[in-house]
Amino acid sequence: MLQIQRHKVTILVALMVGVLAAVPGATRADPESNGTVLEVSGPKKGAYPIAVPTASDGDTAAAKEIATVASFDLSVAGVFKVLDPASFLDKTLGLDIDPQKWKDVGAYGVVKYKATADTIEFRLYEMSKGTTPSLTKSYPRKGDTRAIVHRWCNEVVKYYTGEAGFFGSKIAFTAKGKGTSAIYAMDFDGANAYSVSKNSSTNILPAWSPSGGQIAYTSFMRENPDLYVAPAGGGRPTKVSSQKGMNTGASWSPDGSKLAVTLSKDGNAEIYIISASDGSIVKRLTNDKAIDTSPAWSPDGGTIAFVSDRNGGPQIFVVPAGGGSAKQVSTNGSYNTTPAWSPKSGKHVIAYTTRDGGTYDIVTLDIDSKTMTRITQNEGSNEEPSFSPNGRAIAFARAGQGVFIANADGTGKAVKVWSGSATGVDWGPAPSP
Amino acid sequence: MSMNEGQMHVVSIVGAVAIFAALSVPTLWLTNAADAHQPELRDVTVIEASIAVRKQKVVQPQKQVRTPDAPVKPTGVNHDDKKDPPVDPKKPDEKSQHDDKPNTDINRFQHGDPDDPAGKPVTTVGDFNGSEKGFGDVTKGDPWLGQLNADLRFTPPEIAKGDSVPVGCIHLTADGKIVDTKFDVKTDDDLQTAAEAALDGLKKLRNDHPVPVPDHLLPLTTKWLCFKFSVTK
Repeated sequence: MLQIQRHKVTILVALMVGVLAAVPGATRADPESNGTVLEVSGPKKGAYPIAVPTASDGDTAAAKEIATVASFDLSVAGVFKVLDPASFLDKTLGLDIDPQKWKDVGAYGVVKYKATADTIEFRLYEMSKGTTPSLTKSYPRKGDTRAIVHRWCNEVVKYYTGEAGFFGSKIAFTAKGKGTSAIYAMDFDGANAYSVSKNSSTNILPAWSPSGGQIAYTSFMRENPDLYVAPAGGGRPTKVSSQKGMNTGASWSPDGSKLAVTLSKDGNAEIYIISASDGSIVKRLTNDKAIDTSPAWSPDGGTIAFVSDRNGGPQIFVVPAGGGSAKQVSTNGSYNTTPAWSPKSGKHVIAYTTRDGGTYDIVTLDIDSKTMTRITQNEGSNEEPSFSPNGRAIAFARAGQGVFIANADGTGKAVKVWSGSATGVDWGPAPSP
Repeated sequence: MSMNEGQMHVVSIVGAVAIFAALSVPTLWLTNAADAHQPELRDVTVIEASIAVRKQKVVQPQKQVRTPDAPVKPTGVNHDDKKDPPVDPKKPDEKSQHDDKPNTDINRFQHGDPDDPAGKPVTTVGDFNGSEKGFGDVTKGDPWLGQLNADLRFTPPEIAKGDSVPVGCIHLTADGKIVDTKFDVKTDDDLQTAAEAALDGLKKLRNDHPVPVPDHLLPLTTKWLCFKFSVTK
């Protein structure tokens, strides 16, 4: 009897020890140091605190602009928390720092710079490395100061994440006017906006080519909604597809040779693949009495997502780009539209517009894991998402307010980059280094 | 006329058979008749029966809400040049804590009374000895230490560089305050910064809201209590 009880006690103790060992961050002795040190463990999570103090020497006018642009860039990168300059203690002039004073305000990294008439020199410091900069770059002051800052911030993102940044990329969208709508393009942060369509008709649904050199869009300039491709800088457009009925919703193949479009030449809206150069039909992908529209070509080229109401309300479907049967992937709510693929390789994530109650919001869906992430909530009506070139951010239109960008992991608040009535947002490819 | 016992048995058996037959024959006949009128399978009309199940409402995903970071208050700098720096009345006299003079108290070297096997109750835990670190098994599963661990809030950022394991130590006092911190193993990556921030945060928290060290952990106050910081994979 006593032996049985001993066994029970032994098992109970073993279980308790096991549970204690399994709990992350559990307090236990360290065997390597004769049980003298407590172990503390935690996951890597949250944004990286970084400071961008405004340089107080050199070209002070440029210094303010550099700090503003760099702070904005890093704050929307999806991985940084840019610290409030009001808390800064280190007043060290020039490119040097006092690491302890930056640690005292919670900074892990600090960006210092100095602008002269000829160059802008940047330094990235990590507090753990003291006064030795982790990254140094010097750029000749040729052209736009903003562009130089974007290039530097891309270096910072690459240093930390190994991924290319999206600073310097462009966003296209439809700007609504009175009775017309025009295709606009702008820097991702809203600067340098310009008209691409340059006509007084209705122009909708822009789509950047993979190279960034062209924009496809639908225009009613010849009454019928035909598909055009124009130089991204805004030159004369070329008519690519003018089938009877709709020629809309273009999405480029990754190699830029083809376009997935919605055509209604036979009366019903169906998804087709056409040649990007002459509009000839390469393949018909859907054949259903329901409405099939809004194609989006996956970054690996193998799949096309689209919207269909074949099962009732509009839902997101996927179909092999080479043809095959379509499969519904969205299951939340009764109204899901405007799919856009994440460019992250190895992932199959789609962002789309979903109706929740009386408003529309942006969500993402990992098709493999079925994980959904909400990007917007209780912030107006949000539609037509498009991923940044590195997949870290999503641009979208907020009804009556403009174009916004938000973290693609659902954290943080969206930031407005363009004010006005906008739809049909499409984020262009990464800028050339 | 009277029947003998054998005749009575025969009559009762015959009666029982007669009653059984009277009951079972009509029953069997009726059953066969019913089977004879059963339709062929091909003539049967199938009515599908199903149970109505209320469709489970699909809930829309909810947006992540990140807990706002605690405001970072600058430390160690007085912005008012005319104002004297604040004096922390709780800060111990460092000289008395880390006196380099040799300790001449020979009582500390005395052993227990060998004639008294039960020993004597410990009434003092001794002074802080900066050359000693931590302690052993007493840490396992202790709630006070568990809370201390939780209060560390070691959270390196998602993109923090490095995979080092810094080791930081605190000097506790019996009232639960932290009078000093140091790093035994100092690394040169972001995990060091995260560990320093965690120790600084713990020091501030425990000095603002001290939790007295329980009696059984008082030996902690005589040596550095160290933490090994690592990232959960």
